[in-house]
Amino acid sequence: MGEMLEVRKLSKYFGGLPALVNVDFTIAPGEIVGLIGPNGAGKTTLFNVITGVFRPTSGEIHFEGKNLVGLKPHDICRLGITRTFQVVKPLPKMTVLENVMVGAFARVGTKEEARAIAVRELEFTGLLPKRDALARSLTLADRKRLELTRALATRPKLILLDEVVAGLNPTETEETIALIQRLPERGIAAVAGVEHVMRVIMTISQRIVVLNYGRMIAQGSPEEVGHNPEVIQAYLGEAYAET
Amino acid sequence: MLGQGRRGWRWVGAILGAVVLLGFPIVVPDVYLQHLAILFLLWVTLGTSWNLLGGYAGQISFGHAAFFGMGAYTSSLLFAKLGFPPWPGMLLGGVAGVLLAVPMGYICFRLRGPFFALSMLALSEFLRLVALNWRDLTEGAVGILLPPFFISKLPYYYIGVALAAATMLATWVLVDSKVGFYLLAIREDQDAAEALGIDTTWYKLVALMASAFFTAMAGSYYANYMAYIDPPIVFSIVDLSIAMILVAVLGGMGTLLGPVVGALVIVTLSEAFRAYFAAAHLIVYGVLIIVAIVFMPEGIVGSLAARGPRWLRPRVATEAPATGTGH
Repeated sequence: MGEMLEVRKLSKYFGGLPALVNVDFTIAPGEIVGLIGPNGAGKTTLFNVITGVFRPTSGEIHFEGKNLVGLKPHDICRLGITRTFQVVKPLPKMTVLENVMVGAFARVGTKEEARAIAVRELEFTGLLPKRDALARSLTLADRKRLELTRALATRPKLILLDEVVAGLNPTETEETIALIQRLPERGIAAVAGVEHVMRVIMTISQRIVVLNYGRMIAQGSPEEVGHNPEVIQAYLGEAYAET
Repeated sequence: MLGQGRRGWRWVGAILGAVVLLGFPIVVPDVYLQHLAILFLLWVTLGTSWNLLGGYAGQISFGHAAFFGMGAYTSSLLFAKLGFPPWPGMLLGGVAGVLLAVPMGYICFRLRGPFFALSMLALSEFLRLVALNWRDLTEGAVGILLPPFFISKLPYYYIGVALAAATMLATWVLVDSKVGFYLLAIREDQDAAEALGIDTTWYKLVALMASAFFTAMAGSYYANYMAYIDPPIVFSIVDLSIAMILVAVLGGMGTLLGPVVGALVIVTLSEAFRAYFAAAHLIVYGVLIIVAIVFMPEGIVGSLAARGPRWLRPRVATEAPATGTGH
């Protein structure tokens, strides 16, 4: 399996504080990877480093053979990696359609082309009926969905989803998971960052990466990770790790 | 469809506006009123230029007088010292504004926060002091007296119409395109904009260059019309930099018609109050800003449009596939 994204010995320190230490993983085209870690484990930092918001302290990131270190977020988006934000960032005074058109302009130059792409992506995520609503009037669930739609409109090969299901009720969570499951059929790989070892993430992910205090404590199939003593310890405490 | 109707209304409005503007000095021969109309056109140009950067791209400048003065001094010095004709000189004034804008934007737009706003303030004060003290070039505080180019106000009036129309048209074309979407996205959320592939530094710079170009052209135009400039006038913080903000904020930031309404209000008020209050017109500016922010944070056009018909709303036209094509 040819790897699309390769992260090698990636570290990020804020002053003396280690946010990421020697993180090492790869992602293949069309693969869904669950990135699990408790609050403060370094998931958002990892996304920020991959997308060029922060420069890594050391280590390498290669995407389709190209070195990403030192590139700006907009360069990385154009190479095919996009993201959503833990704290959603809609463009509040623009409509849903306009939000998604902004994403589409990453690949096309005219309003007509951008509108066509945006409408198609809004259909895919089911937000089309709300196309004329202002983004600031949406519920949290819809804002998250809008961010996903907008990210898809940039035609990514890899999409990094920060806290995809945080704050969503069970129905909304199911809907979001169903959407993510349909990404591989479009050739899009996804990293879904979540705080808890949730069954939903376990079922859709081919692979799970677990972060704790900036270190990668486990990597493997959902089955393996679920039985890993270190993972159990990180989530449930030492008492449970022995059994 | 809705978009068709809106587009139709826009054309009706534009044609009506053109007829009124072109016919005004023929119908109204009063020289004082013609003078006020010229000031109005000047302020439409300045407010629209500031609004492109501040209202659409969200980059607030506290020192746009820097570009105004740059344009005024460039064309005036070329005319007074080298005999270079003032109307092509106006274009060179605009270019000088852009040359000033590029390093400012390149340095400041990499940073976030109030750096750009404050750097502009510093730049305009710096240029005022240079103009005041570099006497060999600028005549310092004595100022530059220009031979009037036209006796009648009519040519000035029509050049003012052309300048204001060009500024508004450029803004319209720009904001109705990909660039406009990108500027709004930067204003709304810069992190999101970057993540969506927008080179935020570059697009902010594009907005600044366009804004500086038209502001500097307006400076050249003003110098030609008044036939006299000195540093305190063309680098004035209050009467230019702050007044430009007031025109855009009062009229409606991020709307095409906002600065037109703002210009109308400010020219009328400053003329009305000048006779009675003299320097106290500053108080009026202050009160106006407070009233606008408290009661109509979206400005006159923004507030009216939010309650009025949909086609009036200050939005980028996208609802119907029929809008905004073919130009």
